[in-house]
Amino acid sequence: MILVLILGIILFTFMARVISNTTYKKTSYQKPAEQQAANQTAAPLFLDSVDWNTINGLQVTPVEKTIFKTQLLKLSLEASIINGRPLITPTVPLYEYLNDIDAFYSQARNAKIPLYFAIKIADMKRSGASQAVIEGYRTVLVAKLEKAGLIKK
Amino acid sequence: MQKTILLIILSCFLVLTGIYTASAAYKFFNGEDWIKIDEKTCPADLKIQMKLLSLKAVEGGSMFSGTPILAQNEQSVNAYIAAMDNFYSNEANRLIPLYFALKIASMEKQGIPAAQVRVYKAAIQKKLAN
Repeated sequence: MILVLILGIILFTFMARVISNTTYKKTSYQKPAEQQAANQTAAPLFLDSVDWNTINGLQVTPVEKTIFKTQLLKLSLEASIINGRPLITPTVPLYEYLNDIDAFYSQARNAKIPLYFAIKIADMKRSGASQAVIEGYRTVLVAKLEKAGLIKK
Repeated sequence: MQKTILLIILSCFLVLTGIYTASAAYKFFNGEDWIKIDEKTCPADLKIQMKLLSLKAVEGGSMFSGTPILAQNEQSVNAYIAAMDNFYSNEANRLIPLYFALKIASMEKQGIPAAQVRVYKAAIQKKLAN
């Protein structure tokens, strides 16, 4: 079973590289996300604090808001899983990340950071990463996203 | 050749996602969840907003994990809301995860031959049926 899994991963990686050179795919599988996004000319399509706060303003019950926010985390995570690069490996239900993300976006300095990375930072915090490590990650991330033109300076 | 490569790639990550789902009894966000948005007792514009946010979550997740679903020249996900509504109105498509539904819609919009899209969709459905 493990051998099959390893062979599958190797085959997947190889084929991803092959297909990135064909005309069918417009983007590469293996490029870092920020680099790849930098090549895009269209407006970036991702969630950030504006969207997150929009949910808080929706005229639905608190329970529905919680369910919907959890679904957005689930959708972000699923996309990364299907792409073969899981964002996080949660050890608790996803709704337990909501308070951390709410707290993260309550700080104005984090407003521009995409939800995808807010989840990552929330997970780092849960995993016991020090504040210094998280801050270092955040600083590098913001610099990359700004350089890629995905967020404004 | 292109079709073969596409099938091999699809098989590989379906196997990987299959292993993941089997190990965690995981259910992807699919048409059943999409339809539930319509069943909510809230104004229509609110439903559209929720659908738009859902699509942005998928596209953001796929873009930052290395493979955007939508092509570079696609400015907005708005147009895809109707495509998803139409796709999931067919009960046979309900179990297809939103990621793949969006991918299929994007392939169609890019002008990928219908036969190739059908093969892609059939491979997903076959895997989901197992």
